[in-house]
Parts: sequence; structure tokens; C-alpha cells
Amino acid sequence: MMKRRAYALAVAAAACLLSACDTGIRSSSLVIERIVDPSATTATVHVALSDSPQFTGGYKPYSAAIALGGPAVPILRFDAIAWEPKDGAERARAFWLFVAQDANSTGVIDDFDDLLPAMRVMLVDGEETVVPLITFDPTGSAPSRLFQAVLFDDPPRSYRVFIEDPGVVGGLTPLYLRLGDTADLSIPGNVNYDIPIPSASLASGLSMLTGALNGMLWIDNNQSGALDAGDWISAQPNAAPVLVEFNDAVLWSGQTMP
Amino acid sequence: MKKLNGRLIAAFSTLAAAALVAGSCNFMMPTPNYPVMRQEKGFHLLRIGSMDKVWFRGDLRIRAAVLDGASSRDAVYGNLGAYFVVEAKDAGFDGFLHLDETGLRLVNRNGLEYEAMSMAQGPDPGFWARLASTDEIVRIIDDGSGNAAQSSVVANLGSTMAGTVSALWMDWDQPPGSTPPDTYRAAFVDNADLAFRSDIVPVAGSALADFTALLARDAMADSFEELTAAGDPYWNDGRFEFRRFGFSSTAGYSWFAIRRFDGVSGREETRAAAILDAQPGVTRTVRGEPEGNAGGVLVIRQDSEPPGIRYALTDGQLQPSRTITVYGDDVRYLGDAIEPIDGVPTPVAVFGSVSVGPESKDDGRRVTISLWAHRLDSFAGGE
Repeated sequence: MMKRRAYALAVAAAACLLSACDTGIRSSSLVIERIVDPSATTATVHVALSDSPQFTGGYKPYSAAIALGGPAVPILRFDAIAWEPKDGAERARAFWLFVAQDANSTGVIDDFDDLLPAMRVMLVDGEETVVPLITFDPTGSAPSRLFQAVLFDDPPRSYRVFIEDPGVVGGLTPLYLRLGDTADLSIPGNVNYDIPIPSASLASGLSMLTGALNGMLWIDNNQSGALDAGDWISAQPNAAPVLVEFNDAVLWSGQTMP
Repeated sequence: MKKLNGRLIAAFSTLAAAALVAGSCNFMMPTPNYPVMRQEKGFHLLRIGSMDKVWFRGDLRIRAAVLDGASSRDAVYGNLGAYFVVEAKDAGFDGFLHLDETGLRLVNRNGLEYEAMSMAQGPDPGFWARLASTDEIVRIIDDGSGNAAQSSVVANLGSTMAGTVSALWMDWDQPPGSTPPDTYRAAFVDNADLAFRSDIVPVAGSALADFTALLARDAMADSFEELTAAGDPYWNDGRFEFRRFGFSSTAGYSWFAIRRFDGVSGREETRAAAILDAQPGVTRTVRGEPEGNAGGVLVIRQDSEPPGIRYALTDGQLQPSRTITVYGDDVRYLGDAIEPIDGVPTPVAVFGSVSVGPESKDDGRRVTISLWAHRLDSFAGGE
């Protein structure tokens, strides 16, 4: 009995020692299976990962350039992403994925380039996070499918997104970010941006630089390609809330487009 | 007997566990028991100031700090002042701490959007800093009523450099008793590269007289040793961040603190870069973060683990002459000054050391800042 207790104490001591000296480095992988441009351009897009939603500044070692329409499958893979937990026991952490095009050909991502909103993505220690699809459409007709000619002095805006079942978001049923300069975003002419996010793993948070004044989110549940009856909405599109720096959006089966 | 053995093993295991945990990592590291830590031989205590009921959580760090311009040069006994921008988790203040002969006090920012990392020691009361909104270098003072005030515009650097400028600094360097060729120098970073302008006296609204364009950015970027992953250059504008700038007027070189911060792993690498005026095409770098120069000696922080902060002292070619250790919960090199040492006005290098009292839920914490002087002549490889 005493021996058993002694062994238990020794094990506890070892565990205690290990936890005291845990270097805490975690390792994860991120795979983006497809980035497509529905307008079939052959633009080169630049992808990067960071722990903050700031597009500029910092040093982004996990980054790559991808020519749309290229043959590689999976299109992009970051392996052995080393990260440190913010508290000792953390096994998963949120990061931000950036996708952009150097539209003004300056060799860096800066003012007047085209950007998708920064998309929150969770990395889990020892696991692979898969992003099945990203849509990058720089040439589509209005409303814009991404932020074009962005000015980095524009105010930062972000959404925390809560979805009843995140699994409903997919290639045929994207989450859309709808923005404009008036509260009534039910009128097509008032919608400046309708940006699709077609992967559930990127649908928990969005961050952007924009002068747009009002916004809402919706999910194209009925796969019609347009906001219509039955789609989940974060707010009534004819009364889109005023954008502030930090916004919350809840999408669930109890709030649908009438 | 078996029972006794079991008890002995249990007792031994418990002791071993305690010893192992105590000996591991930072557990039971020495913590300060006195408001002011002792320093190595050669340091002279100039001033101590304390504040009670300072509200913050975790560690208190010095983000930037400089000596007061006028009092560092007037050789008047006992009036040396210094300014500290500190940061901490959940800090209940926004401004800087001012230590002078009347004590230590908090000075509110008062709406002035100066950048802490551009703080520099000028020749007049207060300190210099850049206003982000206007690209002006302004002199900021403690107005005596607990608020910061803008005293004057030193220079409008935005008007002196063409193109899109992403960083601007201005430094003043006139070591006690000397008359150097340039006393003002400004550095610019634009999309192309790096440039300096220097002058003896700036004229309001005009560019500083001497202009030197440098192709130093690539050499600086290539010098990083730990964070070397290439990444996609489109995301790494400038490839690193300029943090601080200064120059030695007497020894004829400019220095930069350059830094890479990996936004995923949280690792950072900071290096000192120096360019001799006589060799503008050659950039030297070493590991560490330069905090200022004392005459011709560059003071480079090499180790940031309190309570002992180690500094390397180098020349403009970054050749080390010696290392020193300064103790505190955090430490910063503040600049050079003339202060009485053994009754004689002496050129000295001054360090600020912060000590923090224990955490108290109801009463905040006690913060003590002390100023320590080290003779400049011993810095250059003497004593």
C-alpha cells in the first residue's frame, strides 16, 4: 500500500516537474485545398498566416504565392507551423488567414491592393486544419466579391461570428459578408460588397479595413446564389446595423429571410 | 519493516519532488526584497523615486525612456530628470512617468499622439518624440499639473523627404564639453531604402543640410540569424521593423535597432545595426537591441531576463569593449549627462532601473525607479 503511494507520489512529482518545464511549443498544419476565381483569371494571390488580423507589419514566415488555375492539389500546405500557447494548457489557438492580390504591382501588399477579409482559423496541436475552398474574385460585377483598392488607413472592422451549426457553411452554401453605406441592404443597388466565405473553418471571425457604414452576414442555405427566403441572416437586410470596430453576428435556424 | 520502507520511499519521493520542482526552470528565482537593487562596482546612485498605488497586473516593462534634455547638460548638482513610458497588463494609466528632484509622478498623455519608440533626448527641458499624425518631431514637457504638453515643434520631417515615408526619427547628440560636426540627425525609411539628414542647427520648415542615401536595407534583412524563413516577400514589406535610431556625433556613426517578430510562433529577433559616416556603404549588425550611445560607445542590451540585464558596450564597428550587468525588474539605458561624481562634474552614462513591490488586491503596487550613473571614461574600455 505504502509502496503504491510512493510510486504515485513519484509519478506526481515527475508530472509536476514536466509541467513546470513545459516548453509549450505546439505544431499544426494548415491545408488549403482550392482557391478559385469564378471569373477565371490567372491572377497570382498571396496567402499568409498570422496571430493578429493586421494585414501589414510583423514578419509572416508562413506565406506563399499561388497562381490561380495552377495544377497543384492540394493547392497550398503549411506544415510544422510552430506556435506557443498563450496559457500553458492550450492545445488550440485562433490565427488569421490573409488572401490578397498585389493589384498595383508594387511588390508588396500595400494601399490599392485587393484583399479578402482576414479570416479566423483554428489550429490544433498535432492536427491538420483543412480549408476546402477559398473564392477570390477580383473581376466580378457589382457588388464586389472582395475589397478592391484597399486603403490601409481605412478603419478596422471585425465580426465575431456564431453559427448554430458551422457545418452548414460550404462551397454551395457560403457565408456572405454584405456591406454598404446605408441601413437598407435589401436593395441590390445599395450593396457594395457581398463577399463569399465558402469554408466552415474560416467562418468564425472576419476582420477588414473598410469605410463601409453598415453590414450584415447571411448564409445561402438554399443554394440559390442570392439572399432570399429561408437563408439564415444575422440581421434583417433592410435594417443592417451600423458597423463599429467590433461586431457580433449570430446565424441560426430561428432567424431566416422571410 | 515493509511499512517502514514504504514510508521512507514515500518521504523520499516527496522530498525529491519538491527539490526537483524547486530546482527546475524559474521556480524560486531570487526576487527583490529592497526597493532599489544593488548594482555592480562602478555605478553611482543618482536618484530614487517611488509611487504608491500604481494599478496594473503582471510585470511592469519599460517601453521607452530618456533623460531630460536640459538637466542632463547643465551640470547643476542633483537636478537630473528622466521620463519613462512603461507598459503592463491591464495598466490603469496612459502617459509617462517623470522622475526629477521632486519625486516620481505620473504625467497623463493628455491627447498627445507621440510615438514612444521615437523618444529622444534633446537639448531643452522635456524630450523629443514624433507625432504620427503630422510627421513632426515635437518637444514634450511635463506641464507641472499632471499633464503632458507640446512645448514646440523641433522639425517637420515630413516636408524634408520625398515619397512615402514609413518611419522617421530625429536624434540630438552633443556629448558634454564637445563641439561635434553635426548635432542633429534625422533618419527616414521610405519605399526605396534608408536615408539620413544631418545639420548643426535645424532651421524651422527647412530640410537638414546634409543628405546621405543608403542602400542598407537588404544588408540588414540578410543579417537575421534565427528568423530566416524566406516567406512570401509580398507580406513582409521592408522585411523587418525599425525600432530605434540614434547617432554618435563624435565617433561618426548611426545606429538602428531592427527587429523581426514572427506573428505565429511569437518569437522575435532584435539586432543592432551600425553605419559609419566614413563608410556609408557598409552595414554592420550584431545580436541585441541598442538602447542608445554614450559618446562614441553604443549600449546594446543583450539579455532581457530580470533581475540582471546584460549590456554589451561597442564602438561604431560593433566591436565589443566590455559587458556590464544592471539589476532591476526592468532596466533601460537613458543617455549621457554631466553629474557630480565624488563632487566633480563628470560625464556619465545613466541607466534607469525599475523595481516593483508585491501585488496587492486593494492597494495597487509600489513602483520605484532609480537612476544609476557610470563614468563615461570607464565605459570606453577603462576600469
